[in-house]
Amino acid sequence: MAKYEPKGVMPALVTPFTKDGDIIEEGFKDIIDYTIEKGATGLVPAGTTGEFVYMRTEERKKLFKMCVEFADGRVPVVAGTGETSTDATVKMTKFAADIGCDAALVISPFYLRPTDKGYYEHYEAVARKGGLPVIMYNIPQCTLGVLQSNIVEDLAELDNIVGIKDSSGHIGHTLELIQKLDGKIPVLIGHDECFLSAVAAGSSAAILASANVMPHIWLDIMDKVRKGDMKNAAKLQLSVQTFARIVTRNGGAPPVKAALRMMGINAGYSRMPLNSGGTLTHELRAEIQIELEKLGLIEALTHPKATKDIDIHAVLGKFGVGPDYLQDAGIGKGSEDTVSVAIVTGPKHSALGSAFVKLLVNPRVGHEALTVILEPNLPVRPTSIMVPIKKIKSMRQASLFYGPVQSGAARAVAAHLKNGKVPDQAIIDNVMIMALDIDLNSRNRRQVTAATERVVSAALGQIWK
Amino acid sequence: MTDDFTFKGVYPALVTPFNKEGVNEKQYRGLINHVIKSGATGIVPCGTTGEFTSMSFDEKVNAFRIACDAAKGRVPVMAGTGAASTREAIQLTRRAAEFGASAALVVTPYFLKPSTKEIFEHYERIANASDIPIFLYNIPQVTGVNIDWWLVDGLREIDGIIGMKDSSANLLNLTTILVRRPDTFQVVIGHDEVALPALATGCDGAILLSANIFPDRYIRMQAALARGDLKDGLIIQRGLQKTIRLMVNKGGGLAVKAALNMMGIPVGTARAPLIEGDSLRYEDIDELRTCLEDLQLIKRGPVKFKMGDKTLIAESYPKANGMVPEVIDDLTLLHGEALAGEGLEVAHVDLVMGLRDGPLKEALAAAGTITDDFHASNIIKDLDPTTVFVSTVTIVDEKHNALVYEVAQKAVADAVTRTITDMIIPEELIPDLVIAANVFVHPSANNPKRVHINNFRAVRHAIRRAIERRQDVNEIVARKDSARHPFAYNP
Repeated sequence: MAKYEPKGVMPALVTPFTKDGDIIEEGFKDIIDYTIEKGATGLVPAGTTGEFVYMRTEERKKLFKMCVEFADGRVPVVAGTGETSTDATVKMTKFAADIGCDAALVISPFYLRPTDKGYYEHYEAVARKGGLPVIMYNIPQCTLGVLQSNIVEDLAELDNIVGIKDSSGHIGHTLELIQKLDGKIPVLIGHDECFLSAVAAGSSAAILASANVMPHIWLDIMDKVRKGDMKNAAKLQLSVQTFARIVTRNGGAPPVKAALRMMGINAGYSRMPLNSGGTLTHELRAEIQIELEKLGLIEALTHPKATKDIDIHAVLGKFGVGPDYLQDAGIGKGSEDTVSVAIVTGPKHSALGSAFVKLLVNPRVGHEALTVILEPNLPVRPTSIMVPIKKIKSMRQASLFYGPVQSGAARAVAAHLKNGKVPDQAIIDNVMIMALDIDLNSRNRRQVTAATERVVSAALGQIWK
Repeated sequence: MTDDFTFKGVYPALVTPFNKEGVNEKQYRGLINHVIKSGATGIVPCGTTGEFTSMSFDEKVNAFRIACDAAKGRVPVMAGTGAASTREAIQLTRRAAEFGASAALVVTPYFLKPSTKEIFEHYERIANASDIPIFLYNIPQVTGVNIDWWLVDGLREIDGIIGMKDSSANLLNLTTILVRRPDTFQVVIGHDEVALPALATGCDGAILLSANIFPDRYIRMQAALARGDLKDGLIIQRGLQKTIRLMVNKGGGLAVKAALNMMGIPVGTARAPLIEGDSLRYEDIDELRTCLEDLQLIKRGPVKFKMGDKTLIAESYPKANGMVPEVIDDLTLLHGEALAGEGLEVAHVDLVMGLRDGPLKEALAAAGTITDDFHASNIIKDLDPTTVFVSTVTIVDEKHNALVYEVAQKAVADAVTRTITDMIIPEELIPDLVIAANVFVHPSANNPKRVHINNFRAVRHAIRRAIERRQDVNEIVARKDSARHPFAYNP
């Protein structure tokens, strides 16, 4: 039998669970079909992304069987057989061997963790008795222990040890392994953010959480590196960098499952305690959606551009603040494609003071007013609020409005204060209401912040020359 | 070489007041007088709290001179003479001795992390060259170097090294040091939050940043422990815990300076790069202020509230120095904003207040009415002044509903009540005043206790900021470019 050699890009398969925690077989099959169709060179069930720590022995065995059945010989199956004890790991690996898995991914023991000698003997036992080629697995963020290079070098001498997956995200450590192993066994990169750096330095395969979603992009990067097209390889890596970062820094499985669901694949949910929205927040889901749109993995909705010339009377009228409130108010406007603004300001004793209170405490749904702040606990003067003209319906809209727009508006006011353009009396006496509209196609928050600062500054310039 | 120095009691790690030229001698002497009057049994110039790394060699020497002169005949001086290089530490120790310092506190070398062999030699050289006894100083949080107990085994044998200050808060290492030391080796605790357990387990005294403010309380703690009264000691430590947690973790000397300034003991601002509103966040400053009020360290006095032709007076307003105007001259519409806490339980409050017949009429008119597509608000029952509660978040489930309308609403009511008992609002003004608070509770929030605490704090701070018109225009202008809106960045 030819020795198994890990290569290419393999997804660390998520395990789809219903909200009650049952495995969704259909969904699991769909992910396998999807990733193989997209070029995945192997499948890794019950890895960290597969939430193996939440599965009992029998369930894991069942999952391996399903995986072998669904893969149907198309690509090799590398089973995540690591357990906390050596005996259990050997048993699990034997089982995987018996049902036809091609290799085992074995995590370093955790919770009660050994130091160097203990690691050596653990892997030696699994390699000798498990009956499968073994890929060692270093993920100190979870295990709290590191597989040091000298142990890995020694273990690489053993027949059945065929690779090391390094998910540490510590590029120094990954390169140390590549250098010292010197091709004796391959180093598999297991950290999505470090993919290009590791592959460029000689990592010959990868097992990645985000390869559930985009194995083809990772393979494309690998291909470009091998052809020496570093420029385009880097361009591609950077295009997926945000999604990679979201995945590696937010629990792995929850963001990957959310992405697959958005793409119409029934990847289900995570098991308790990783499923209550503490890891995968509403805000994070909105970010994932934006990234998938950017990568062309889901269709992007198109939104209208920002309104050019805001009719402030009409706008505020819809929020319950009629023209009577705006008598004597100074008005300024500014607009660009991304963002536009109309500002009204006047003394708080005037009707505008009442408008200010009304918009703040009796807001129309989706048009909630907020204080204009440079950052929380640092509001601007004159005392100011801002209202979105388009109804805020999604977290995406909220994340653009109550962040970049708020920040840009505040910076414009602060700049006017700094340049001495706001009369002293107005600083004390005035209230200011800003109605703002944004182009919801915007994705770059820095640009939104800068554009908002420009339009608000232009509007303030019309009020206080 | 004299080794006859015995550490007794509690020394403050003095903050260093600065002016443009260097050390502000007048304020420094004022501070030293304050701490000695308050019971300090010694002083430490140029410690970590004293921002020694922001001072030139000559400025440190000048600080030693002032401290030794101001303390003369009253309390001993233990000079902070540590430096990254051995040579500079030796020179500083010599200069401190010349001015009459009784001992030197020498921090481990930092930044470039020497090996234990080199640390050993560093201390050996300094001790050999010094006429005054040396205390080792362990503060791994900032140096990156830890003095392990087994290293102390050797260091304490060096002639001239007679003691150690441990600021690590690592009670495992500290206890081992205490168990192994001979009686002649003195060990003092340098971390305020664990002063009680450290003293109880055998430390000889303490050098603390909060001893700039209330050295007397630690003296009493030590006395209680000396007579075997652990309970009394515990009461003292617990009474200070929140105040010192804030100061230790939010800027150290920066926070101590803010506190002293609020108390009316002027010590100026910290040197850059330490600035208020950064590691010591705005919410920390407001929270620290209320802590000092609870400890009765903030002066109270009258603040005038103008209401048309009438003037109402809050007689006992807590007037943290530099934060409170003498006159609030317009009660038409006051606006405050505050964020408190972090994570999913964060509270972010927009608040308006003003006279009943002013713009706040709008809040009263809308409260209790239901208009399609508009958020509903309500007047909180049995609460004076009249307070309108507004939630602008769309309720997602029953738990969220309870967090908003039970927990957060109760927090608003508690904060308004607390403002009255804080004596912020003149009694005659209460019937004429209306407050409206916009509250946001995140749909994924979970922890009711934190939702309550954070909203309580945010409303309490927002009311004060509205009345006192904070932050002021200078702060807005100064932080225009460095302010960081947490949601303004790409993921």
